Amino acid sequence: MIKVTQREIERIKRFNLTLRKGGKSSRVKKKGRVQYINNWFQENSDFISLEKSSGRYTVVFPESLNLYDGFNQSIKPINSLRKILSFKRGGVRLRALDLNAIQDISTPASLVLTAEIDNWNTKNGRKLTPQTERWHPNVRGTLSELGFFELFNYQPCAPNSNGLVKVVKFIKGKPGDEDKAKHLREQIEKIVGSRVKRPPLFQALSEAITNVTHHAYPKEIIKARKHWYMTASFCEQSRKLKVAFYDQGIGIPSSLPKSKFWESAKGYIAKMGLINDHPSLIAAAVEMGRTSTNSGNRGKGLQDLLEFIRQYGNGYLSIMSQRGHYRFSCIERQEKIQKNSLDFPIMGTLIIWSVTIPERGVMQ
Amino acid sequence: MRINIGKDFSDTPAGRFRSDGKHSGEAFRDDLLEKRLSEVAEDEKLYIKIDDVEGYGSSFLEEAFGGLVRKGKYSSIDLLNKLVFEFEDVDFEFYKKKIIEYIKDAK
Repeated sequence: MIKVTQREIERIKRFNLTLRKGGKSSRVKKKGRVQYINNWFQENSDFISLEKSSGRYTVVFPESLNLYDGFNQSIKPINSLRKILSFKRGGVRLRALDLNAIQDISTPASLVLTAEIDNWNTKNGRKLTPQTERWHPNVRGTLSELGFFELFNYQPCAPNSNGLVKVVKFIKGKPGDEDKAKHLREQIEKIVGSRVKRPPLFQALSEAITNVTHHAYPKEIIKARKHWYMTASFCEQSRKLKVAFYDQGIGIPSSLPKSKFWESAKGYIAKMGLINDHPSLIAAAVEMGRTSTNSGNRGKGLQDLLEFIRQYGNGYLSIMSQRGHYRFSCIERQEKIQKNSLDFPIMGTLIIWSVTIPERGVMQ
Repeated sequence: MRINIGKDFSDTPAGRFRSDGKHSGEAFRDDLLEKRLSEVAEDEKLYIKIDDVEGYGSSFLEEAFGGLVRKGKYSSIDLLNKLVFEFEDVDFEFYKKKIIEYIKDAK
């Protein structure tokens, strides 16, 4: 006769309790998880390859990485990086990111990519090493100017020799680091070669940082891990200055319903006859600070983001957060607001300011 | 009596609460503004130079100035009569108007 051990009795009790609660056994859960992961890889197989010998995955990036002109093809591999890292179990490992095919990369895309790789590098004990031999020289140069290679123990490459677009080294910060906005402004003035409008630039950046502190990350995340990243670039030919700010939080559409401004936002959405979708939620978060007289003393921060564009009179502010895109444009001081849904989410919030800097000596 | 925000407090004032950072509106209001207001004689004004800074976010300004009214320290009329805002940089006219707006709207 086989004696049933106490350990076996406890295991059977736990299993029965799980079934009574309507839950699945761990074997069923594991099968479901594996199926989910397999399905996800099949859907993204056009840019993810599997090295069968090691069972590890490589994410292959496209020729052009631009979150405005080629959003879908750019965001999918970036999101895949985060997704694969989130698969803690199931034998899924990330082997490499293949950047060899990229021939041009925009400043905002560079910033988002850098932030995600910084995240991966941190999880990996800062042991990542870039293999840049087959990278396009323009991409090597742009990422070098951005400070990308300082994430690793790696000699930075020479900056781009054509010099048409100058990039400011990215700045990483956390709540309370508003003095870094002053440092960014100083670096911008070096590449622009003249003063920029300091007060509205600091107004915009400091409010973006304050928003990260208050809303972007879940409460359980400690302050030291509520990171944000910012950078800027200037094209001498077009005189366009672009400033980009990115956080890896939960996004405005997720944070707004949990905030104290939700009632004001709902009122704005109802008043404007909008649908409760991501673009409208972002629009509500920006516009309710201007239009609502009953919102009390809070909720006006996102309006500060617009002032930098208004001061120059020509430019745009773009906010991408989850599946929403909000764009405020100013052409010869005529203001226009557009919003649209994104096919794929951006995991966090990306804010881009773009203004045309007049030539020196030209009055605005 | 005078306050120069940039020199007496910080040239990068930002954030609403002390938990947001070292140079928040709450810290400016409680540690500097309210003290100086209490030291000013009844028939005198408090002059505040606002332009030796990088700029201001609405969170800082509203908590610093609107917060004085919301906390019941001053009425908006009394506060506006007491304060004089000074600046040489014309870009800061915008922030003077914002401060006055936040004081008037504070409840």
